[in-house]
Amino acid sequence: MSHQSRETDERHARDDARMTDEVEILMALIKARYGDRLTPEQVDGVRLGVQGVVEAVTALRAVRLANADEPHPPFSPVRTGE
Amino acid sequence: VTASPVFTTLRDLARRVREREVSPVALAEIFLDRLERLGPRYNAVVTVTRARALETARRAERDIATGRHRGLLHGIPYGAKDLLATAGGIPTTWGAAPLREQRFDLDATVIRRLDEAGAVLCAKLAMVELAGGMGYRQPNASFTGPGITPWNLDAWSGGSSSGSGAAVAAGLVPFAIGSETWGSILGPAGYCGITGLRPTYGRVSRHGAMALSWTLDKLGPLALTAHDCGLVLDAIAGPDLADPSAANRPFRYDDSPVGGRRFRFGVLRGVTDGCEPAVVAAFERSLEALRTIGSIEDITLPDLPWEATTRIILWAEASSAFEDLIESGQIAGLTAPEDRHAPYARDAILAKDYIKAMRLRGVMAREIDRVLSRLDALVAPGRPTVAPPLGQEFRSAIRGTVNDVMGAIGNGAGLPAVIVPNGVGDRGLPTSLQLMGRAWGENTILAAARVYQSLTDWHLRHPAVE
Repeated sequence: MSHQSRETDERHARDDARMTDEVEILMALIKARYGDRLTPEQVDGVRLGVQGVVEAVTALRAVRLANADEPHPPFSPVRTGE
Repeated sequence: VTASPVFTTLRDLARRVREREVSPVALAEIFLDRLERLGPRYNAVVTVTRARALETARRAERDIATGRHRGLLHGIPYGAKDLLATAGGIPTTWGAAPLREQRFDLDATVIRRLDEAGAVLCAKLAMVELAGGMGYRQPNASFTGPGITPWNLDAWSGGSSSGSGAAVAAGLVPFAIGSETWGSILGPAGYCGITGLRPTYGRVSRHGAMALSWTLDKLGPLALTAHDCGLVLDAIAGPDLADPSAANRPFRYDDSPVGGRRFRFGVLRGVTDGCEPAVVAAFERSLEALRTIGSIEDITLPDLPWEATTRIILWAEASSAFEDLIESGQIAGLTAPEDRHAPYARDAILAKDYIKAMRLRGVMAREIDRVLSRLDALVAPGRPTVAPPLGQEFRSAIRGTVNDVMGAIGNGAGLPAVIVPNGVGDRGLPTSLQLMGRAWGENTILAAARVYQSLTDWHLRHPAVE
């Protein structure tokens, strides 16, 4: 294994561990809020969903945006009666 | 002998009504009978609105008899997805068992506009519960049962406008209204072998429609042809003070002949990756047909997380839109077991990540407009597969189990798309072609789809219903 590929593997392993940590922290929040109404099988299903969320937001976080890249659609003030 | 009005285009039906070959009441009776008799076979109908239909049809008959003809939709029956509010005690169930008795005291703007055009509401059509916003994984996700495509009774009609697709394909109504947040018009139209139009976001008022995602939801027609979709869009489009997202851009459907116009089409690189072989073969045949009316170029987009962007927006907004149902635990009464718990996972979306998705959406909208500004349409297979079997978990771009860059960008950037049948795949099920255009470019993609349908006959084929 080359030095570069070992570094890549190590970075992926760190990223995976970070994502797993995030999933478990978010699961703790969800269990605190809704745990009393979920069966163990449903908790497993929710965990899959949270993994999907973390994978998606990890992809979003990897993109660098400029300060001027504002949310779309932009906010629009309201003045009724006109 | 008068030809059957079933599987007849709107233009032909309108001519028959105008020339009094058939009366609006007789027309309504024919389609009401089909909805009541055949609708259950496809789990396509929630409520047949017989009393309202006959009252509207009688009014149309009187108006037309006295020379007050309101246009091409006057006296024409239709169905509406059951997320559009209807007054008069008619339930609006959103496809969800806990809401099967829900009623509103208003008509959605789309229903009102079709009423003003003289169209005759004959049925509230079945849909996936809460328009699929809870994360369903299987066709059986509605209290009316899984939607069934008329082409194969063991296959799904698609979601979430399941009944709108099946009802048009089976000739239960000449046209229907559906909604799309991500795939809910194109999916059922594709699986049912009909034509569907997803308008530009803001083209059609959402007032009175169930909200799944305020910044992604669109309402549009499903019908037999692209021309029919244009006629319906003409009636329902336009600004609406009751919906601030309805753009102040009047729309008139342009059905003038395209003559010798040459279209400019684009194909995203890798757009057929993961598609079934029969879908790829049908798409290649479609490209051959399109080459006779225009040019086709390969398009490469920047490598950005398009699907994740639209997915996070949809999930976060759905979580908020259905906060009451989720927090109260009412979702435990939904049909699909996964819909009873999957929504809780959306609490894991942080505000900063949702806003990042909304910022990336701006990048997405600009990038795709840059591409489309020199094209008439991006073309792609309408669906990567034919309709999946009823009893099987299906793959979904919203859940991330299949790629759908066209759907992610088209819905994320709010772009119009038309889907047309383009072949037959496995198990005798239809394949489809989609044409996606620039924002507010419905007339362009409808023109291209009309020409495509003039070159092919897939839209003239109908399932053996009786």
